[in-house]
Amino acid sequence: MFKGNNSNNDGINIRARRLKFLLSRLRKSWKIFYKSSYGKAGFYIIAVFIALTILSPVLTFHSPENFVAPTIDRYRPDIITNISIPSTTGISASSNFVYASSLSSSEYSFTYLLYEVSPAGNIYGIGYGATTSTPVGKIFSLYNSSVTGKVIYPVTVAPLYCYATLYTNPGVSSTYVLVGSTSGKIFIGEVLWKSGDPGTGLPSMKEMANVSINGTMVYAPVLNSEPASFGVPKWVPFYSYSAYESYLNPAMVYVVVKNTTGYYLNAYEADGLVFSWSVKLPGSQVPSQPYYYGYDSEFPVGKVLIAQGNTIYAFSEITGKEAFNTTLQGNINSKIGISIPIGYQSAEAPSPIGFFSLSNSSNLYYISLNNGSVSEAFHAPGIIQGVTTSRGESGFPSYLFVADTNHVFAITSIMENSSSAGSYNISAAAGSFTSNIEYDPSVDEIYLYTSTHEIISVSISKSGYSLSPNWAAIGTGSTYVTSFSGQFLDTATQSESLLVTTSSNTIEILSGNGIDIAPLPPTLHAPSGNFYLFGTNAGGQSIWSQWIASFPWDWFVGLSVTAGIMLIAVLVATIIGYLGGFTGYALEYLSLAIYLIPGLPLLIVLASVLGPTLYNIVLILTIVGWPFTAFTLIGIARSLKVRSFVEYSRTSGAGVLHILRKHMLPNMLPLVAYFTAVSIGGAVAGISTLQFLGLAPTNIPTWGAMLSSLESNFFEATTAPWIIIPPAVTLTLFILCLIFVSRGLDEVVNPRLRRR
Amino acid sequence: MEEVKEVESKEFTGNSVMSIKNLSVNFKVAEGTVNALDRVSLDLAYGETIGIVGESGSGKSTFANAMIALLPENAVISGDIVFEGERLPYLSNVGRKEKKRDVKILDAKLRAIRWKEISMIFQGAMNSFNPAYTIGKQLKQVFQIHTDFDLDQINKKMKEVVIKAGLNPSVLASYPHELSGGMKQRAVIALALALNPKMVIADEPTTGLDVVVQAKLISTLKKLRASGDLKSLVIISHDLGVVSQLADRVAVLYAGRLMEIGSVMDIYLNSRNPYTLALLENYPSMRKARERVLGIPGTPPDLLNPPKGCRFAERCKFADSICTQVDPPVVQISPGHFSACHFADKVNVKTAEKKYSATNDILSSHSSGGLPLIKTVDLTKFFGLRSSAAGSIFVQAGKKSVAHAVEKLNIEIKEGEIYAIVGESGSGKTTVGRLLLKSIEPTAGKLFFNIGEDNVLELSNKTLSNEKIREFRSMSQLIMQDPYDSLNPKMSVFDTVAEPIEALKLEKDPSRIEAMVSQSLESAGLSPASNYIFRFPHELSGGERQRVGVARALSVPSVKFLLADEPISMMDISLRAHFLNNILELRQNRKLSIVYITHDMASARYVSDRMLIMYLGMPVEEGETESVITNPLHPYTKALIQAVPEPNPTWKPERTGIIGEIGSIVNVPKGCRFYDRCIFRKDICKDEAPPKREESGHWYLCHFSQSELIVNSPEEMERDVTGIKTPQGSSINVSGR
Repeated sequence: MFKGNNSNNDGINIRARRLKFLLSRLRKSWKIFYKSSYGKAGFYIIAVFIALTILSPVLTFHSPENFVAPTIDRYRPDIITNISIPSTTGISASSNFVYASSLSSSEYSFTYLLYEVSPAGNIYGIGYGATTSTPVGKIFSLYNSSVTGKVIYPVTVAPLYCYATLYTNPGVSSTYVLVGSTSGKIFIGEVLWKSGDPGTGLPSMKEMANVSINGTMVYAPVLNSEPASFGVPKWVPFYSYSAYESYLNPAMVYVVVKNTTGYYLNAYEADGLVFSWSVKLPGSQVPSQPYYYGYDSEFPVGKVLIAQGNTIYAFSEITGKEAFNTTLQGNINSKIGISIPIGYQSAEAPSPIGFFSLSNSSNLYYISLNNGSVSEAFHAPGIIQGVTTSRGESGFPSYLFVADTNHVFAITSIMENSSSAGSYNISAAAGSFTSNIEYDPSVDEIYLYTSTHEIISVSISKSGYSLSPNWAAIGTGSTYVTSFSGQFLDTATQSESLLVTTSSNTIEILSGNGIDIAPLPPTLHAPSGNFYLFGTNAGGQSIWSQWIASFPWDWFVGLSVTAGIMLIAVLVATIIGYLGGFTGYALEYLSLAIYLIPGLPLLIVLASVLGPTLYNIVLILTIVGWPFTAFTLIGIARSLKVRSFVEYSRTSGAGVLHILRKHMLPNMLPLVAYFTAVSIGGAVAGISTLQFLGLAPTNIPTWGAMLSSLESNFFEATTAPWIIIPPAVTLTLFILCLIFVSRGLDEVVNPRLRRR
Repeated sequence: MEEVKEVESKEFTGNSVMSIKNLSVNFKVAEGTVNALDRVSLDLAYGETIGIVGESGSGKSTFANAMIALLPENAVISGDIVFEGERLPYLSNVGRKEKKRDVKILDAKLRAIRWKEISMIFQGAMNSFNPAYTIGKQLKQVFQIHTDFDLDQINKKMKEVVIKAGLNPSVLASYPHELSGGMKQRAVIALALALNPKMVIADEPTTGLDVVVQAKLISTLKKLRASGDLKSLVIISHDLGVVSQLADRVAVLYAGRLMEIGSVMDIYLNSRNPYTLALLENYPSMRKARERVLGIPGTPPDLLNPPKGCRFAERCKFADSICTQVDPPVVQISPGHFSACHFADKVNVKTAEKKYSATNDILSSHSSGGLPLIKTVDLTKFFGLRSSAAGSIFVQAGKKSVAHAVEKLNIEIKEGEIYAIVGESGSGKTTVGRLLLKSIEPTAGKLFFNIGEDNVLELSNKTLSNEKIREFRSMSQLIMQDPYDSLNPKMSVFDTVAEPIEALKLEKDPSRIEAMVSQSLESAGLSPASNYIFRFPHELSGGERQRVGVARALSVPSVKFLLADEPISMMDISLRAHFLNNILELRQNRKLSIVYITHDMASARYVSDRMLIMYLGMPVEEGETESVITNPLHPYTKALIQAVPEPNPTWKPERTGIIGEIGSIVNVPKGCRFYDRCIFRKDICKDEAPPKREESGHWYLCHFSQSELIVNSPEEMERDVTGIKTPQGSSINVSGR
């Protein structure tokens, strides 16, 4: 009676209509799912997770396993002392007038105070903890030099052995402060200590001499003794040498003066500031400041070099007689001036040279200090910003370092064919080099100051002349380094130190040795040019890269474990719950046994027996994970078995497979879906636990592995939250969103929930 | 509905214990607002019993819960519920924005009223006992919470109420699982009466109980009413028979509206509302015998979008265009009798009978000739009971306790016959059904099935080939009891109906399968089939589900034998007639043999040709249906027939002629199975199995002939059913029984 009845077929295949129907069901279900706030939230979070997982290879900027933040990002100079300058004193730390009286790489003088001179000429000493009398931050008002006009910086602070007039303490250096003002007054004062012993008792200052010059002073007065102050080139500490009694050429002060008739170079004896000689400079342009070259000699061989326009003039230090003049292709770069290796300033050298560059030039030249002949030393890609050399005591200096805006070059073989043996490129993020560079021969490091207020330390490998970044000093927060005053010998620690001022009106003494500051906080502008969106961990690995690379791995672990669990659980549940029998009993007891063994210890034991490879961990998590799901599904299977429709199916002749496929599985599906969601989260939590405990391979990036550092240092959560927050939040969100999704699914599969 | 005026009840003047005015309850759900109750007004006088009648979805339970302030949070309530002159507090203070303090005060107020003043017998309350405590402990709590009696007083009180509820005080020491369903329900009544409340709300108090127990419970409640222990009672039921027994007045609810209200006589004998009349006409009562009833077409309206005008209009045979436009007026028929109908003056019992009943009676098609389709010879099924896996291994085989589910069943079912198997729950009916379908294997005996052309299969033969079994399967199908549980919620109607075809691999061509599915859906009354094939069970109404169940059973064209296991027990009255008529039609059209398993004598009488009465696994009586009903021979059959409720206040269930409740099939009596409950028992019954007594194809199992059945003593008769006085209000003789 059913034959031939095709009235409802409409010529369309029932299969196609069924498919269409299923699709419309799916769409309907999706609408319900999307309507539930849990489902919607879960969907969007999981969508983000999936998107991040897909994008993960692209977004993994650094190798999560092998990448380590470069030294320069990880190391910072240790801050030895931080001195805050109260604004009430009228001086500020950030105006480049911090001085110490000691000389780097010399040991004959100790520094007990840092000096500051206010624009009005008040001289202050600032303690930095060198002795008990000079505690950190203590400010001593030493003397009011009563200069007229404004003090010209830099102010010179230097030790002199040969200040004969008031020489009080032979063999022991005293510290002298030389101040010049725009109105032409020069002042020199000596720092005295109440006890007579430097560094103990109250310091005070005695005015030694002052002189007024007819005209305006163009530059701060220059002393031909090596000044301890920074910012000016160093030259020989000729008159401060301890063997002062040997030749006794007088210490001189050189001043560039301008009056109505033109520019003059004046020389005064430091002792009493007695006028010695004066030379009128021929040109009308503003000359450079004077540079002194000379060494300890029986004869007055020293020269004062000064450039005016495109000519360098050299005058005898004692007589003012012109020794030579050399015409250049342009004006010299006044920022660099003439850099004379320190070795030439202490003993006679066969052919002493000084380095200079022209303004806006990328060429470095050297000038013979004997006859003024000029040669090109090096051609840099950019405009030269600074130059420094090693001492050069036995001929030409071993190293010459030239910085243009973006590079530092270590140059060897200056005389033959100047070529760069090694270079260091500054990253774009760190800006460009802006000032002269400093070389510290005792640690073989050079220090550079950048436009982004960083000080970068670069090491020189002696064998290969290669340069490698050492550390970078950058400020924290809104504080940044405003000036780099240079190196000095810290009396308190007996070590070479750096002196900087910061924007928060403090003076900092930095150690030349870097300290590891990893974990690095999140930064977009690391000194190396890298960016660490989520910072790094204590090993210098990028948290972002590990985090983003964890997405696929966590999905992999979650999905593969879940697939295993679901497969076993559904199989076991149907065998025990539906088929029963002896196999059912046996399986039930087995799963009960696994279920009753405490999970974590079992995990640990299995992990250590099977070995911590990824696949073993997946296996272990599956073995430990299935009984719980299976037990719940057994209940469902058992209850389904006695449902009328299953019995009906059986009585209408359906086989076991038909019943399993059509009745058991679809009705278990909601719970399977729920457990799938929960298991993915559980598996991820499981591997996280194992990794946290160090039982799982940590060479696989997962959120759990990222959290493992917490185990050894719980305080990392507060000291470096950027390590903990991304994986912790992600892990939580991951598990939560899967629960949300399962809640949303619940609304779809349980219409009753929707009703009320 | 317009406001129902204050009802002046003859018997009960004075104040109302509860007065409900214009109560509307709306549930806010995801899809919108469900209008569960619409402007219902009702007065309950002191000492009065009101019955509230309605089908599922009519708002009965919402009404009950509203009376005791138990509505869920999403209910929006308007109108007044005044209890003893005071508004129930929650009505004026509804809303989530209430401060916590207010809610606390509210709860405290309600606590004072609930149980002490208004108590409730919940639907299925017999399952609401905590299995971990004794009945006594749970009863004691009621006193401890609500009174400050000392322990002696409490114990005294507890005994009192337990005796009142018709129980032996020893049940106080029992755990719930040790009591039968009827006893638990009595314990619930005791619980409700414990504090002597002014008002008791009984929500479906007898639903789920066997007819015999139900009849006994009704008489207990009647007794309690007469003695004044039950003061005011609101009895809510879908069963018109139960309500007719207990109520003074009856309110008929449909789709959240009050359709008719009046005294019990007004409603049952002189109804003036089409809906009430339809319910009464379709009630499967013994009185109507085999008059064909037509049922109420259609389904109740969706209360998410209630229809305009009269809510019954769509299904009403009296409906006119006005009914779908204008809310019906409330017409006073006589003092205290109101009907909400546009045509209340035209509608009455006589006009209704014409509309709702067909003139032709159902013909029996029992033919005595021909080979039987199914034949059983001493078919027996014992279930082994094992408490644990270990128990099954260590207990000796002989000492295993067994459940005597079916014993020595000898029946023959003819082709084209509807064969009813009737009995209380626990009588083994369902096991017989499962045996007949070879869903379980018999312990002993033989089962034959005629697969046609005199080719008889012995289904009890365990070596039967799979081919043969499949052949049998393709000929036998099942209609299940619970339309909610018998359909896989994850399968569409198409998949469900096609399942037997696919399971038996009868057809592979999808379009052919579809044709078969459509055909059987239409023959089950679901047309056009294309509206149904892509729906899920939860998108179907109860009636539609049951029809899908039928369609599934019919999708295989070779079906010859249909087993219907309690197919209508979960259906509303309005749908039952449809289903039964459907069965009858099928039998006629397809010459099916149908085994109809039921506990409901009335419906068995309506559809079946022959019937078998079973008690505790034993067939006790078999015969032509009319013969068995009109001339019951076995004491058990007599009791069963007596216990079937009638929608008529004049029916008296006091004398059920049976003792206690059905026993356990594990420890069966040695002699006659019915020994423990028989009021005619003699010593011989105890140890000797009764012989079969036959009169022209109508036999019963008993030691005695009909004339020998004499009640031993009046005490025996009254052993647990004490006669109670007839309530004053119902002592009116009504003819037409």
